[in-house]
Amino acid sequence: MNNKKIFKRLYEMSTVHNRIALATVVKTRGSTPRERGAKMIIHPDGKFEGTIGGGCGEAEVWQKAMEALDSGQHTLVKVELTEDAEMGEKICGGVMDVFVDIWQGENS
Amino acid sequence: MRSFKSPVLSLINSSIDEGKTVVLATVISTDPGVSVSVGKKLAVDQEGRSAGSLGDEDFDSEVVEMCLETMKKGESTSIHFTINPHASGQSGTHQKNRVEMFLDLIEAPPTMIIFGAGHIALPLSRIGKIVGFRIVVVDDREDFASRDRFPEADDIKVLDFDKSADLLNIDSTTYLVLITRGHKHDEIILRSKACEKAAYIGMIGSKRRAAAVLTSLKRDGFSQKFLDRIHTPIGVRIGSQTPEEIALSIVAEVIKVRRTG
Repeated sequence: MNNKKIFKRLYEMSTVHNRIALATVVKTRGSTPRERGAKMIIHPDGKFEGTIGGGCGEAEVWQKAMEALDSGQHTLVKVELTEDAEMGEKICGGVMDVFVDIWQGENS
Repeated sequence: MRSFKSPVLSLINSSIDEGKTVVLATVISTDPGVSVSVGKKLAVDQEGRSAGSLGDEDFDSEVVEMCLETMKKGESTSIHFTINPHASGQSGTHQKNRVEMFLDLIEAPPTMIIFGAGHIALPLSRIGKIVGFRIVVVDDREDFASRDRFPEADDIKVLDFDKSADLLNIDSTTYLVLITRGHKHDEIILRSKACEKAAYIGMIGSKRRAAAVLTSLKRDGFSQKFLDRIHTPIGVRIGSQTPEEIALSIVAEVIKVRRTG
């Protein structure tokens, strides 16, 4: 899903939800699965669209987004993709900052 | 009511619909005590119109300028900004009043104009669409340049090739793919001044036949600089044989030019 499609969907979602979360990769260091600007929309019911790279990192962001949708508070998530001996899954090795924004109301 | 109205989102949505570029600026972190708060947004379109506010008029107008800069650079970016450094009244402390913003570029799509609506144009229009191009198909035959054959195309034009390039809006975000049924047609298209503005020009054909076209153009005074810009034989060399494979190699070349220049 490219940037335009994400924002078109976000606009459509603003007509059916009170609140919607948008997670954006705002900074990357080292090797990461997606580039700066990659996005995922998270609906209040937990459905999501787009990807910020999949795997554990994305699951972590999804969890934070669900909490943010509850509280109405945006949050900045640091996703560590450095190798984890126990998990053995985060093979990219980089770190990415993901801004989870909550779109709601007139002032958003 | 299960909905909300965001002026920022409305501006972004209408810009996308009108094929315009727009930048969304979002405050993503601040030093403690800064008057601007995290999550504030401002959208700016390519004409400099804005929606939303970061809560400070002076700051807003500076950010509008930065958003226009971002459009020129063609890349999303995060920036640090120092806001009203003398207003805190806490001289002697180490308070920095920094604001970090993410400037997100939502770009108007590039256009791929496919001249020649034959068998390669079919997969080419589809693959081009998938990778994010606005697709325009041009042919002088009505039964080839038809909606039935190109359901995904954004625009289909039945035009004589000799006038076609002048009638289309060709600019630095336009990619020209010449795959007409004969080199005579390709050459006629290339003779239009409008082609010079394109980001990419590719022409199909064997080396020998392509060389004949280039020689003919050169003889008529076209600059070597322009001729060197024509990618021919078209496409990256992956040993393509089928129309689908050839279309894929053309799209790969177009992406290479778009992303790496």
